[in-house]
Amino acid sequence: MKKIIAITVIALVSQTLFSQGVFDKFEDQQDVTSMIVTKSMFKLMSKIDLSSNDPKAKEYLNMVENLENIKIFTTSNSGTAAEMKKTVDSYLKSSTALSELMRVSDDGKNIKFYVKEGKNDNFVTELFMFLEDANSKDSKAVVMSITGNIDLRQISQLTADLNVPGSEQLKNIDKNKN
Amino acid sequence: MDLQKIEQLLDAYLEGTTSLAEEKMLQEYFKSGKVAPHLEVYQDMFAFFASAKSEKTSVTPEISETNKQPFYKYMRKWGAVAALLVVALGVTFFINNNSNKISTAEQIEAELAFEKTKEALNFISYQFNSSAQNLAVIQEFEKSTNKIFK
Amino acid sequence: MQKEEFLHIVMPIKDKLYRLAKRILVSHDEAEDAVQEVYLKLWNGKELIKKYNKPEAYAMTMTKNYCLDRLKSKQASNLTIVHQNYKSNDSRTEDQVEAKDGVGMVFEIMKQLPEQQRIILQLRDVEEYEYSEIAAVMEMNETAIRVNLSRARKMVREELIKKYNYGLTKN
Repeated sequence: MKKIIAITVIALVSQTLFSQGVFDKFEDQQDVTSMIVTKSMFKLMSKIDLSSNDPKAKEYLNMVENLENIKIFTTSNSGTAAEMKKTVDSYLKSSTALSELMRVSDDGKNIKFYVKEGKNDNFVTELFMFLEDANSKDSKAVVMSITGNIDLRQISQLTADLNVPGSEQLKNIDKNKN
Repeated sequence: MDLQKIEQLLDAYLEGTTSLAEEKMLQEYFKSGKVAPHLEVYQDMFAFFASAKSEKTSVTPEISETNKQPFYKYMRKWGAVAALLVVALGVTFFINNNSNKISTAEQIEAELAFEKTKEALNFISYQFNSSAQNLAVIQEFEKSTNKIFK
Repeated sequence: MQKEEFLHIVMPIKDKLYRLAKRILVSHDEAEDAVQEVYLKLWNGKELIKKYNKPEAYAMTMTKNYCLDRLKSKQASNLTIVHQNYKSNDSRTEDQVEAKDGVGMVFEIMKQLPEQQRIILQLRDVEEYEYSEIAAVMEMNETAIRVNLSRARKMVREELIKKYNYGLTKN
């Protein structure tokens, strides 16, 4: 009973402009790791003295400048994971602006990507991901939402250099398309 | 008046010790015209002072009722406030223009958040790419199967 | 303070202010200019006058200070106060006809006195101020006033005797 009331209250109270405020309830739960970064923090980041570390940092910063929010919720608890799935489903249903980008199912791992349309085909105003992995110990479920002015090509570019299994084939496929 | 008295008064007069009343007595004596010859020099002195008393001026204060005074008062009151505002605005402006500098504390916080953000972006990027790549493989498979089945 | 209240204070003493100014600055025109300035200063600081028990003394002090400043700045710019013919300087006053008569000589002699003595002599023998009043205007103590007064009077007498004898012997 308490839980229901608490959830309702939190849900009502946290009625922000961003509809994914519906996930904020997970923030306070014990078995949930959450990370939330807001625009003001992005602004601060853009003022970081870049002279240190990483040349790639500039790439990230350019992206970051155009972001509104990043929210990530991770749980290691299967019960909470199921709850998350429910919330995700209702969220996706309620929002008409979100459309499925892709979903992949592989070896007990389910990933869904949803996007809200941006200024053109390459841009989205929201990139939403839900990952379920029953076999994982730490992250049985991950909800991630990025809002802002997001270039999907840039997102992809970030880890394009990393050895993604099968990425070789991906390159080959492109070549073979012609 | 007694000449001796006059001479006494004159001595006191020269020492600057006479009262106004005593000086009046001297004035009366020297006005009278019957002055002892050796004292004639004083006659000119007292005559001069007597005439000087009657000098007048026609200059009167020209006061405009549109007082400058309120303006000074106004300025004194609000001038300080205005000056303070100007300074405050200047400081704000200066700070805003220098807002590209952030404190060390903020720098550390921001760097931390940045690392986390990079992680998050990398994570989603990786997932995104691997999913997309999976799809590509499937598509290719479909293509090739289509070829087969055509 | 309103205009009426101000004039009520200033009008009765305007001649005294003028005479003091003229004693210091010698010239009639200069004295009138000075008095006009002093009126302005008094009006601008009219709230201050109210604080004084004797506004007259305050006004006289202001006049004295202003005129002395004027004198200094004139001297600084190398303008000498011309040894004016007594007649042309004060064409209004009828009692001085000849520059060389005794009374005219007193005027000349007074011009030669140091300003301080000149002023104190003026305040006592012309304006008939009490020693305490003079002390207030001069911002000096009474003993100093008396000393200056004594010196001034003696000086005038000395000089008069000199010129008198000269005149006598000449004749």
